Amino acid sequence: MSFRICATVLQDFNGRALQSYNFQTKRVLGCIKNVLFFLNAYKIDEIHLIVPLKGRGLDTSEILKELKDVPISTPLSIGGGINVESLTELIKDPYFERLIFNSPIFDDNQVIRNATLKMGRQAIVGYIPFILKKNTIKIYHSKINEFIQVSDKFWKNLNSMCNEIILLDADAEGSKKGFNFKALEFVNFPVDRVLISGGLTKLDINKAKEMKLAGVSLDNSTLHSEFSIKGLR
Amino acid sequence: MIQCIQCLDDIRHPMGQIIDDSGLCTGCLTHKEKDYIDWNEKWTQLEDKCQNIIKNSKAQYDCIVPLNADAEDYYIIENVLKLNLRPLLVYVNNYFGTDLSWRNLHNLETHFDLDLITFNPNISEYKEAVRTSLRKFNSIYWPYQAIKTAYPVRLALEIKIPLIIWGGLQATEQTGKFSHYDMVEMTGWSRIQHDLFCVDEKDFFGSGAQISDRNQYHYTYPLINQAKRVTGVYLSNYIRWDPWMQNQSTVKYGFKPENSIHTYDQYERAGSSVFYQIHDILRYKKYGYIKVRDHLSREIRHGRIIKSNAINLYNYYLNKDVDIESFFKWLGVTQSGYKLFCNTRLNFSMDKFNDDISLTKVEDEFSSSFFEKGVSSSKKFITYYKGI
Repeated sequence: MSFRICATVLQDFNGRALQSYNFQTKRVLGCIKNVLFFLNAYKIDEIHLIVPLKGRGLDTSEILKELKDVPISTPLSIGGGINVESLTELIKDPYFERLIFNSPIFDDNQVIRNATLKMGRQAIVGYIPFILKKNTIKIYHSKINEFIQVSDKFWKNLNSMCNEIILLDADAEGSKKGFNFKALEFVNFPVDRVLISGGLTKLDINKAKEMKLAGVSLDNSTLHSEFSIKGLR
Repeated sequence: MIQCIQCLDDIRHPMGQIIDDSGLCTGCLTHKEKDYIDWNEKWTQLEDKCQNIIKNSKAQYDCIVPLNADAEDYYIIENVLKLNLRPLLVYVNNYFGTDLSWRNLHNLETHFDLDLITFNPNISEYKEAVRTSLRKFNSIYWPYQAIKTAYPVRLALEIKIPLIIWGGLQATEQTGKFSHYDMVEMTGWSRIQHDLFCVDEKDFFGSGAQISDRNQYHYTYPLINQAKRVTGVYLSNYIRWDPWMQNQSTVKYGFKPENSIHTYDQYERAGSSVFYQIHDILRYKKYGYIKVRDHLSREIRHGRIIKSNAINLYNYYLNKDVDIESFFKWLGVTQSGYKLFCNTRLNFSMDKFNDDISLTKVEDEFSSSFFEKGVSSSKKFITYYKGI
């Protein structure tokens, strides 16, 4: 598969798209349908739409279901709070190509098994925000809202469950200070199935191409200038 | 209602506002960035960016500057000239200007001796668009905003001007919707999100507006793969933006501030027949506040007024009388239609705004201020266009 330029969009419970900075500060981007419409017009390869729960065990199925009427042709991956029950509802009328998971990777992969049975393993994406400090990588666990150290078993499970992962540099999110490529040394996952996100510059994108990563997922910047991705191809 | 612990903003702001766990809104949070940014470096970046954009241009003008006919225009022009750019000024007539607004616009043109294009939309169809905007979306500004944000881009494409220079990016300045580090530029997305409140042309004209196809063109943004040929930059990403202070400085160029009973800010939208009248009432109806709250939150962030004084002032202005009848007369609505609108759509008695709250002196509420001797408009809704 060729190198992909994707975009990540966060959505809150009021149907608004959000921007996230340093994995902490949130800013309103605007009406989600308008955002998706323009990302589609900007010819993004894939949209990753995530409802950030951060420890709040809320049901996201209703807001995710509302997106099915958005008239876009760009492949859409959705994630955030998808559990066994909401998965059953969502896949009755799937308007998305892939499902993005975080918490179930750690402790309850029943929902991932069900999703794999229904949609195939190629539809499973792991969402892996990380922080890298003093040569130690910590991975974000949404259910407990913490970055935690993980064992080799985590990577092994991730490999068996997910076709691709989105590796988000949480410290650099929303900035242009550069993705921390050193993180890839600690990630036991085939690079050709890794999408990187957070702090991306044009140089980073070129480097990602050279390293033959699966692609990049731009964070807030896609809508900050007209047709911004054109120069990144 | 969740309100910011520092300013007067709450989460119902039309631009979109978030209050974080510490109780601060994104507007206050983003304002703090201004203290850490090297603005000299930003200015150099702007100079380089502009020169880079115009270097291959053969157009007679380097950039377009869209105007509002208020003080900010003067400040933008001052900076555009500092950048050694040759600007073409573009004014879209919204027909809401008072005599003061036209006087300030013409003074700008003659003082700086620059070329100005004024676009006058077909007035009967424009009024129909305003009626539709009011009927469908409880707003009178969609038609004006649509043309004001589309016409300069179309003109730039037509005469091959690669750059448009805007003043403050309201989304950042009011609610901190973007970080200053994001360096946000003009986009078709932003236009619909921020200027047209998420109603695109298709939604608007598909909702019963009787506007001819020929005139719909002026309300419509170019296709984005064409629009990308024009870069729109916002000066507030490159200059430490402080509207009250910078607007006062434009008096030296002959700008006349307006004394208003609806805000202490004598500069923003001075000479508008509607901005602090019907437009503000509709804002109040939809979002629960009037414009002066944005002004007061801004001054709290700049450290010129404390919150308790700002609340006093807000209540003072909240209770001022407003004239919305003249707008309905201009629009050609009958007296009974006007009353029906007040009773059913605004759903309040105009008497509510007649109670006066006394205040010794507005100036005393501020620790520092930028007041000037202002004037008043004497004629509203100056219909000034071709054939008159």
